[in-house]
Parts: sequence; C-alpha cells; structure tokens
Amino acid sequence: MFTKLRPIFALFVRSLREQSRAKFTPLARGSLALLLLLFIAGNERSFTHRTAPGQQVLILVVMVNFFAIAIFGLSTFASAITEEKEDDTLGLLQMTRLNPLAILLGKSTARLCEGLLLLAVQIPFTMLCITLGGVSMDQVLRCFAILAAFLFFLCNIALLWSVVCRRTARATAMTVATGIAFYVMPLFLFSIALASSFGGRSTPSWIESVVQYWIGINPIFDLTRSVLPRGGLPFAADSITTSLIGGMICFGLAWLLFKPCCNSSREAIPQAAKKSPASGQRTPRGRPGRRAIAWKDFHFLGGGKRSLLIRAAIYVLFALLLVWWFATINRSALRSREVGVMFWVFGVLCFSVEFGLVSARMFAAERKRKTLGVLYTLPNGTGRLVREKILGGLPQLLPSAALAITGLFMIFNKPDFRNDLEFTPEFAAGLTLVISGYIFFAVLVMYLSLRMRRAPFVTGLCVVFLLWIVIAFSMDGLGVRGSEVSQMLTLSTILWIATLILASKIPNRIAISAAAE
Amino acid sequence: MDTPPVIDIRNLRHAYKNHVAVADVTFTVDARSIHGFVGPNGAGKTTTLKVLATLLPPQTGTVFAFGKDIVRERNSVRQKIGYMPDHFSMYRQMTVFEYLDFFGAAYGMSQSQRDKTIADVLALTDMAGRKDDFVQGLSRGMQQRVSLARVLVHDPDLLLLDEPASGLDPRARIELMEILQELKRLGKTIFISSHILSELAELCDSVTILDRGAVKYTGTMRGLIVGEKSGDAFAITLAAEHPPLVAALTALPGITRVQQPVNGEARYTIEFDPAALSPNAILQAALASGASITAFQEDVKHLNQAFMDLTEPGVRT
Repeated sequence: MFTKLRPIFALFVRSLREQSRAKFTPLARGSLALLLLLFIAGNERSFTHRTAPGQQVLILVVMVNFFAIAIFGLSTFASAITEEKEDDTLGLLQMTRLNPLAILLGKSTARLCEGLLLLAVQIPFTMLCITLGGVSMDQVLRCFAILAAFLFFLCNIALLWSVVCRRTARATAMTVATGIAFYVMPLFLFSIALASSFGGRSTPSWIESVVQYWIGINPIFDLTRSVLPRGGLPFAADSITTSLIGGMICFGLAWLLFKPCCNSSREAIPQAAKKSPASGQRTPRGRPGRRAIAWKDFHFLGGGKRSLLIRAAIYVLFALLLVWWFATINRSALRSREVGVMFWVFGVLCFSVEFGLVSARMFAAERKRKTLGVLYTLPNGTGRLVREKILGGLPQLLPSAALAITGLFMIFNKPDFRNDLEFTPEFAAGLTLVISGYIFFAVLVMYLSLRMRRAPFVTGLCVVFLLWIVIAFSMDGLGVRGSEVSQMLTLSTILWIATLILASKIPNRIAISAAAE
Repeated sequence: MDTPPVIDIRNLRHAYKNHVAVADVTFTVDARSIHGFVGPNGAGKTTTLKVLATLLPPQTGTVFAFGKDIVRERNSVRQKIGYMPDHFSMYRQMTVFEYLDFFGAAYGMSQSQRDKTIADVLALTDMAGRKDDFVQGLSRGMQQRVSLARVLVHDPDLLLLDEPASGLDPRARIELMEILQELKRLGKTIFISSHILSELAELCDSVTILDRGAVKYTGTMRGLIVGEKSGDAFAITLAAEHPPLVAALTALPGITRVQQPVNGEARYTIEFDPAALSPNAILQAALASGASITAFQEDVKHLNQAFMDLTEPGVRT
C-alpha cells in the first residue's frame, strides 16, 4: 500500500526536505520567537498595573499572525503552480509518474506545512500568556486553531487560482479578490443593512441572519471573541469549520480543474508566433530614447499608459464606492473634507502597497527572466542601471499618488483649514520619519529581491515590522528619552544610516546576481 | 608590425568558495579570427567567458581585451564586446524589432543608426521577415538568431558566444556556423565556447582546450590535430604488409622516422623534414618498392581522439 502511495507523496517529501535545508525556515522561526519574546518583554512594565496582561500579549500575537498569514499566504501559495507554468516545467512534471494530486500536494501542501510549523513554534512561547494571567489555555489553543484553519483556507484558495491562472500576478489578484468578496463585502452589506434599519425600515430577517453568519465565520471576529475574557465559546468556532470545509472544497476544485487548466499551458508545445501591429505601423509604446531601460520598464514591466489608466479608473471606482458606503451608513451627504479624507487614506494605502510591489519587481523580474546579466554588461555602469530602473518604476505610482493628492487638496481647499495648518516641529519630524521609512522600505525590498527568489515584499514587511519592534524596545531599554520630536529624528537617522548601508550593497548584489544567471 | 591580440588572459584564477573553477589560465586570441574554447562540462569555460564579458572580476591574474584591462576600463571594453550567454536572455512580450531597438538605444545609438543596423543584423540572421513577431512565439532556433542579432546590434568587434549551438537541430547549427563565417569576413573576432570539439573543427582558426580549470592546449587547430612532431608526417596504408617498403623509405634523404605497422594493420607512418623531401618523392619511392598502396594521406589525429587525449576521464569533483 505504501509503495502505491509513494508517487503521490514523492514531490511533497522532496519539498519538505528542501524546506528543512533552506536558510529561510529557521530564520523565520527564530524571528517569530524573538518577536514573541519582545512583545512579552515590551509589556513587562504594564504587568503590575493591569488585570490581564496575558490577554494584551495574546491579542498582539494573534493579530500579528493573522496579518502575517494573509500576506505570507498571498505571496507564497498563489505561485504554487503558476511558477511551474511560468518556467515551462509543468509539462515535465506531468510527464513523470506524478499525477495531479501528487503535484498539488507537493507544490502547495508542503508550503502549508511550513506555515503551520511557523504557527506551531509559537505555541509554547504564547503559553506564557497563561502565566501572565487573563487568558486560559483553551483560549490560546482556540486562537491558534482559528489561525491554522484560516491558513488552510487561504492556501487552498490561492492554490485554486494558481491552477486556473497562467501568471502568479493574476493568481494573487484573484485570491485577493476572493478574500475581499468572502470576508470584507459582507461587512459592507451588514453596515448598509443596519443603516437601513435605523431609518425605520426593517431589515429582512433572512438578510440579517445571512450577514450575521458571514460575520461569524470571519476569523478576525472569531479571534476577537476568543481572546475576550468572557470565554464560554465552543472550542470549534464557526470560522474553523468554515475555513476547513472551504479549504477542502477549493483543494477539490483545484484537483478537478488541474487537467483542463494545466494541459493547455505552453510547456513543450511550440507556440505559433503572434503578430504585433502590422509592419511599419507605430505601436503605442513608441521608440526607446536615451533612457532605454526606463522606457522598457514603464511599458513592459508596468504595463504602460494603458495600465496606468486602468489602475486609475479602478482606484477612483473603489474610492467612490467607499464614499457611497460611508454616506449610506451615516445617512447623510458627505462634505468635501470628509470625501477628501477617504480619498487620502485610500490613496496612501494603495500607494504604499504599489510602492512595495514596484520595488520588489524592479530586479526580481529581470532575475526571473535571466536578463540582468545582459543589462549589467551594458557600457553604462551599475549606477545608471539602478537610476533608470527607478525612473521606469515611478510612473506606476502615479494613479495612487494622484488619488492621495486629490484627497489632500479636498481637505485643505477651504481657507479655515489652510489657516489651521501649522508647520510645527512635530509635523516636520513626523514627515521626515515617514519619508525615511518609505525610502528605507523601498531600498530594503530592492535588496531582498536581489537575494531571494520568493516574496521579497512580504519579507521586507516582516523585517521592517521586526526592526520597528527591536528599535522601539532598544530605545526604551537604553533609556533614550526626550521629546517626541527628538525620538522621531533619532529613528529617522537610524533609518537613513540603514538605508545608506543597504543602498551601498545593491550594486554588488546586482553584480553577483548578474554573474549567477 | 604584429597586431596585438584581442584577448590576452594571463594566469587567470577564479574560485567559488572552495571550488576552483579556473586555475592559472593563460592564452591569447588573435584579431579577426574564430577561436574555439572547448572543454568538457564543468571545465570552467563559462566562468572564463563571464570574466571576459566583465560579469565576474578576475580574482587573480590579468585579463585584457583590445589591450585594455577589463576591470579598470570596464565600460570601454563593454562597448566593444557582445556577449551571448548560454541561456536566452529575452523579453518575451517584445517584438523582435522592439527587442533589438531597446538594446540599440541602451548602447546609446541614435534612432537612425538603429534603423540601419537593425535592418542589417536582421538580414544577416535571416530574421527580417519575423521582425514584427513577438519573441515568445519564436522557436528555439529563431530565438538563438534573435540573441545573435542582439549581440551584433551595437556593432561590437569581439563576440563572446557561450554554447551558441546547444539545443539547435543540425540544419540550424550549420546555418549558425555560416553566419559566424560571414561575421569573420566582416572583420569580427569570435570567441566561441562548446563542449564538442568536432563541432568547431571547420569553423575555428585556433582553439583552447580547457579541462578541470586548466588549459590543456592552446594554439592553431592544425597544431592540435598534427601534434608535436619534428616535421611533417604522412601515413601509407597498404593492402598487405610489405617489409621492403621500410628500407626503401629510410634510404630517402630527409626521412626522420618510419613507424612500422602495429595491430596487424598495414599502416606505415613516415616523419620527414619538409625542407629536404616532398610527399611526392615518398609516394614514388613507395610505389617503386612494389607496395600495393590503398591510401596515402597526411597523418593527423581524429579531433575526438585529440580531445580525449588531452582531457581526463570522469567527472570533475
């Protein structure tokens, strides 16, 4: 019997073996353990004058884990099958004795195990929360069960889209869309339904029960309920059952769709040449000029003007939807300033995500296509290569930046607000810190994209988060006191030093990556 | 006055951690020649090519291209070389024309220069009819041609080609070799690596054989197949052994050695001083001795044999 099962688990076992040899796995586990210890140490002073210090630490741990799973899941699982399609190696895998189930298990379940182990490694440390007081062992275990089930669900949604889509970017986008439709949209519906009932109109009971059910299965709400000191909730919370069933359905669908969706991929089948616009006809991309690399990145990495317009339209649409939702639940028309605030917040959020993604893709795309070597051997120098890459990536940030600026303009477009606006030292120091943080993050992600093949953006986020905690803890431990302004300026200086160190290492990393192709 | 070598590598050494990829490599490549760089897998060919292409700095030793140090005058050297790696470095969403146009612009060429050069290289590589096709739809052979066109787009004097014929069908290989011959006629120096010596035999003027990171032979192709002999050598093959032939030949002035048949094959190898004796005189003397000659030819090693003699068996550890 075991002999028959061997081919099914062959790829799975190999993936586990590779993970156990990788440097990333122990580093990630060590970082998580460090983070937990810092949380506990950071809260140590408040332990004496709080009734439930353990609860405080547990809330921090589960929320950090929830968002880490969401980001880690999107970046890791959505590429499970698409990376094979992109490398044209899926056909080779299918030619072996590996059937679709074996490929799915090997490519995705091994990564799920890695994620589950990352959760498991935290459990003994999190048990300290029980000693600190305020939570029971049941609550701790329930939180980790909810997180594990959420990870399982996310893994399988991403796997399903990875089977259906040809490219990782599309699979990631579809996983995000599914997550929003599943977890976020019901919240909007609920708030709208609630707003309608305040107006004297009664909300139909079936809508209420459906919406309440959807909220019940949301892991964030389930985690919040589980951490509350009231207790008394059943161990098998709603979200666990739903996540497990949903995950299994998605895995089943991925298995069913594997053959129809993956046999049409292009590996080993010569593809007929596609024709571009007729010979001599000018393409909308025009011709490259002196900054050829910037031109290439703008058109072929960022998608060119068309992509800019599409993204601008999507952002405006979502921002307007947000305004409409806010107006509906407040039951009043919004003023220009309120709309401005929403545009600003939404614009900054989109800008931050795009900023990280652009930084991550800048060199990762060249490494993936093995084109960094030929760019590196151009007679222009590494400095110019980096500058042109940045120049080619910046226009991609225009739609989100324009939305945020429009929001700012709407907020400050009235004389009284303009008078209120003061350029205080706190404001200047805060702005310096934010700008330093953004630049540090971009340089860090760029550097990581030259070092690692997978998920530099997510790793960058985790590193920044960890660094932030370590710096805050160190400043507190070293007794760095003073005004907020001086603390922010100290942090900015630390960030600038770190940025300069990383930036100085990028040319060398480019050379190493180019030579390693 | 002699033309200085286009490539001059002296005592090059490069190691990846504890693994020494190339050790004490020294050779030169003449201008306007095709130089083969041959060795078994893992011999250090790609590492040497990467050093020449300025992708890797030499850890010890010196490397000059066109008389310029490739480390100190890197950008100047890069302008004069075209490097084609052993994999396709392609932007698959571009058309063939866009791909070449991009690289032309990246090398600082004006639009009019690019239009002319791209038309020329597309004609040379026989890809003019496919210039509006997307790269991702092209066959392997065509992608190889596009890669070669990309290398040529800025009109470099030295082409560094890493296994350009690997994975190509026999027809595509022959066509590629014809393109390289044409490039040599246009005055380019071509440095081409391969792990198959016979593939380069008719193409190359000179060759360097590398094995386990060390140079085993560097020099002309003829020197490789003729070997280290005091003069010229010819072989006479007879229908059957004929002892009077040895006496007749040793009596000739200028003969340095006559090697008798071994393994039962009636094949005599004659080494002689070409200044004192001609192959015609040897043939006449052999016929006069009454030998029944079935073949008379220059005594050269088979290329594969030469390669096997110079390289060690087994896998590099």
